[in-house]
Amino acid sequence: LLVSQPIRRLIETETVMALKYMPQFEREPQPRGSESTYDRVPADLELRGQEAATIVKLIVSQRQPSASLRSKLPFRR
Amino acid sequence: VTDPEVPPAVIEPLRSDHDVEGFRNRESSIEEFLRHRAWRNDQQNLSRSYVCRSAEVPPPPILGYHSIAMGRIALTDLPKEIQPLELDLKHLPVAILARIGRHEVAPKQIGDVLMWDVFRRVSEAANRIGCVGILLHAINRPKLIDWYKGWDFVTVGHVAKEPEERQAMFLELSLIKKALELPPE
Repeated sequence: LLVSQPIRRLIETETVMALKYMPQFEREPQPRGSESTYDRVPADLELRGQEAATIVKLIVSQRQPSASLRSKLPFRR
Repeated sequence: VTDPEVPPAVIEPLRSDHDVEGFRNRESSIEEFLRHRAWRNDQQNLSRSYVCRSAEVPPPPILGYHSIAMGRIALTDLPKEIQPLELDLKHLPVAILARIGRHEVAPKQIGDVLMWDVFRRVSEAANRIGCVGILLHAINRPKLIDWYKGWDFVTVGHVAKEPEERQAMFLELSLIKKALELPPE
């Protein structure tokens, strides 16, 4: 799966060079057995009443992609 | 790869030899999930993680990643005006975008590349097993929530006010498919 040409160019000119010179450092390891947000996939969602209705309306809606979403098209592979 | 002068970048399933230790993100939950949990989740079939990496610098640095899983939205006390839709409205299957993040020095467009990849993988999964959209629980930072809104995600449920709260957001499958079918600009 290859990324688009513009992104590959970005990677070449910006990221790869930056990463080459990025200093290496270590961080303290997470204590064993401790629970933190990184350890979990977010829970499911329960909705009631009008909030539940919002989801149903979205599902049956005929929304079209916004201009903002369309502006991201150059980065679609 | 058509142009040998340009280093290729790939999005691929997380492997045990990916350089997760070198991944840096300002949000510890994004960074630590990749470093400590993502591979284990893959082994236990709890979620799937995909990394975007450059192929040119050894070891290939991870430019960004996303993790997706299956989940559901439970609906109760639906108002009467919804009932005539005659759908099975008690539990809706969704894809959960559990994590998405780019390396702190990667260009922000890497996030856009990753989200398109999420769209494509969720659409393909929906074709095979069915789901009604993507649910995520966003870190409560205005810029981040605006970025999701730029992808047409809609905030749902409790409105997060505190920094440590998460904001639930949803994007329906029909819009994802329309976006994937848009002609290239």
